[in-house]
Amino acid sequence: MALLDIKNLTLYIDTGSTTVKALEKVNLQLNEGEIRALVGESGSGKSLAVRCIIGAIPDYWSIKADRITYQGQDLLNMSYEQRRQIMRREIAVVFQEPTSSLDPSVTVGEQLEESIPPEFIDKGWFWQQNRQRKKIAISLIHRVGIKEHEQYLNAYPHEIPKDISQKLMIAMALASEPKILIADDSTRGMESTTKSQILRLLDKLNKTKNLAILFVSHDLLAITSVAHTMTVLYCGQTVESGKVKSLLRRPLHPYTKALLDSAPSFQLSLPTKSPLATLKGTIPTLQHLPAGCRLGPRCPNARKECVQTPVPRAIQEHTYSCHFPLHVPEGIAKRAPRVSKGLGAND
Amino acid sequence: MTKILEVRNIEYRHSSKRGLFGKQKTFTLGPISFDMYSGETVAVIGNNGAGKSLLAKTLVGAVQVDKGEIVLLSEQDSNTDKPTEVASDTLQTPRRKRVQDIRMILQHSADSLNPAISIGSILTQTLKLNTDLTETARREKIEETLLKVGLLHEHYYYYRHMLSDGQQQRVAMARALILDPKIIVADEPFAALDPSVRSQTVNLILKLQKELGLGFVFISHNIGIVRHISDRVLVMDKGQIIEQGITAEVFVDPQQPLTQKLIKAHFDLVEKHFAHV
Amino acid sequence: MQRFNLYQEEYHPSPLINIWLEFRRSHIALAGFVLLVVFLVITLLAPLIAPFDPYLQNTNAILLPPAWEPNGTVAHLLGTDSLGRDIFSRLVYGCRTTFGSSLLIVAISVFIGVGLGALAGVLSGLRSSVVNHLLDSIMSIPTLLIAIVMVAILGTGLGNAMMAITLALIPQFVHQTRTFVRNELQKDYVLLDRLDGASSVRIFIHSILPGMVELIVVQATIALSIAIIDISALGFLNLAAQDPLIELGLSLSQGLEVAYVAPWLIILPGLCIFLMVLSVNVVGEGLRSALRTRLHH
Repeated sequence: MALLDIKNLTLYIDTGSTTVKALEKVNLQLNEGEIRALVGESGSGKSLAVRCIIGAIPDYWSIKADRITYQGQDLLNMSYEQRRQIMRREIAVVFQEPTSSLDPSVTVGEQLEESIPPEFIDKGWFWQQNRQRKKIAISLIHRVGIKEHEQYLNAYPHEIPKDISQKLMIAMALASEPKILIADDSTRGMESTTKSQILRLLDKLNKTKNLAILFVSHDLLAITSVAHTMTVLYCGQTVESGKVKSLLRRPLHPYTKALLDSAPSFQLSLPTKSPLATLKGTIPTLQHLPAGCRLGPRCPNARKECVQTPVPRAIQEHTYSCHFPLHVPEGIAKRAPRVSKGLGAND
Repeated sequence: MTKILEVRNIEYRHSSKRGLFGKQKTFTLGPISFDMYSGETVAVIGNNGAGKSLLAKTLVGAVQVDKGEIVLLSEQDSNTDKPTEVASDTLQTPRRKRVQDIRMILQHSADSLNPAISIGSILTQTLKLNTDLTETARREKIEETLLKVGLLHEHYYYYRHMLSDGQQQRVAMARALILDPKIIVADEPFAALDPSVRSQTVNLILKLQKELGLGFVFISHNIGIVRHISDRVLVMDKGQIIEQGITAEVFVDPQQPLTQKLIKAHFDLVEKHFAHV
Repeated sequence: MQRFNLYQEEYHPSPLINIWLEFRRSHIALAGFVLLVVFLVITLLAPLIAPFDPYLQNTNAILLPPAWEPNGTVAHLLGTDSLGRDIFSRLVYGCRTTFGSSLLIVAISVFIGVGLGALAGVLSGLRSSVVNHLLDSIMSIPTLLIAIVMVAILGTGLGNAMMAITLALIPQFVHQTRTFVRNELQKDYVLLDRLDGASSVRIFIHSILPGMVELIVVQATIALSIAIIDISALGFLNLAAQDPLIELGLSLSQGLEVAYVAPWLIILPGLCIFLMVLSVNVVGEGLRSALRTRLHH
């Protein structure tokens, strides 16, 4: 059974004058021990999707979905308290800027100890509890690969270099021993050495603790090195989803191909200082979303059928939503099985 | 290729004290020397705190160097090597030539634009301070520059909040280009951009370089982009350039351990990508 | 060179016009604005509006109640006071004095406060922080108290009271301007301006002032409501406007003597002061929320 199962998630946002579908029929599945990348640029709705999962949406947004379940439990219609319970223990989130998520007036060690759920501490006198908290905090720090715990536990957030603070955020997320870790653009703005350290850490956690990770980012180099599967979002629509291997070998959606083209390291035969292949135009704003397939105005293959929102189809666990996918002759594209309601691509 | 810039042994010392009784921390930049040729792209890489941004600021004159000189060479005089002195200027009395010839682009395009005034006013001010053009000539120049960076005439009246990230970055480039500079210095211009916008910006810079023979100095963490668009690369650490050379050579055979680490970390990720394909 | 407008249907207003459009959406704020305009018109056109000469004493019509009471007449719409002077005319002139002097107070303190604040923002170092902290501590004292103390030193009279309140209001503007200017000077676009070759004055006028206008306007509405209350409070205490000047607070204190017989003598001026302050506050609140929503975009 999938750990996290989201089907046809639609998010309606009221912008004052109109209601827009910020997310439209988004499908996402996360299995145990799987690292899935949620890929998208700004405006793709990936952060919104994360917020829908953890339930941090304001009241004037409304969600409609076929299902959003965690281990079979329906998250959509759950009460606030039940949802909080799950969020506290099972799903942990790490956000982008580590310095803005940490309290600047409290030492890092104290914050780490605070994040340990009280259920893990045995009953006893308060000094015994404090000692136990400290021990658990030290073991957490070691688990994320920071050796000199003394130096960092007593430091304040602004005194710590960025990579250490990002690792600390991961340690704080791990304190509750979650089953899912959602990493929202954790490697943004990092240089290659730091980035590979964080990615190696995530990989290790996944392998040793069977931790499922939802890695939200648009950094393709980071994603392809660590993720098993990926889901590509564009303007709130799922455009392609499947194993990283198959998406890289044969991207079926023009947008996925454009994303891959934006990283010159992926193209060995590209001469230096030659222009990169790009899609024309810019990402539409929330107020000006195109009808149908939202890539329509920018897509080089667009034809008049593209004003209808394409239905997701699957070829061997590789799901795509495109009327005219790349690499696939038209006849076969029309015959590929639809991903119908109630049936996930991986069922 | 003509040489357009000579940086000779510049040094800058910055000391700061924490509080009344704190320890004094000094950061020394330099001595640094390197040359630049027209149409060349130089990338500056290194860890955080290595002094890359500081170097960029000295090149454009935002920070005064303590020792050494930054010498701009004008194209016609490259035979006689008559330089236009840059380093002796103070910020308060900028010499027009220097301000016009080396221009800067910052990382966060939003921060480079004043939200309370229109794009047209921002560009008009730059022109008013540095040229003698009449009002109509100014307007023409602004519109020509907007088109050059891929914006429209209408954007003259736009304010910052109406523009997307990529468009704001283009405005920042327009501001830099409008004085027809020889060199543009960019501090992490691609870091805050989405991949698609980044590709478009890279293509724009390559096109402008070909058309105008611009020299381009940029700081970046994105080793993939560095490898693709730079001719030479400078590796900095603790205020010094520890390695410099032609990009292809440095990437194939890095000499310093720091360079090796940076490049290896990048290529590890690239290899993992190709393991899939 | 071809010039045509692609986006004819999209109207992109400047930030200031945006604020006005946002402001207009709140009906309460708009009502307050209308009321404010009414007071402004009264202030400017008092002699044209008042039906009678406010100083004219009519011994035949002493303490006449307002027109809707059984003894009142329509000629004196709001009644007369103990000397037979028409209340409506006196109110009109009183509003003019109170509102007009408050506007003048705010205008002067904005001018001086912003100027000093800008200077303080540009200068840095120990001297500037000492001055700043001194001013901040003055800000913690209620303006009315400062004004009373200054009037006690300088003497009574409308002019002195106005000067006292102006001085009491200046620190707020200095503080706000200084904070804003200091923050702006750290911004990247100011650095780019300097690299372009702009002098400090030019940077201030061209880049910092446009961003500051909104904040100053909001602060000015707050100051206006304080000024109105203070000047009428001082008038009530007989420390500001003196006889024969007509001022709302002074009218209030003059009407106190015959309050039991002719309550309208204190209700009406009080109502005017109340409406003035209400309209200023409502408009100020509307501006503030319009600014907040704009920044959210």
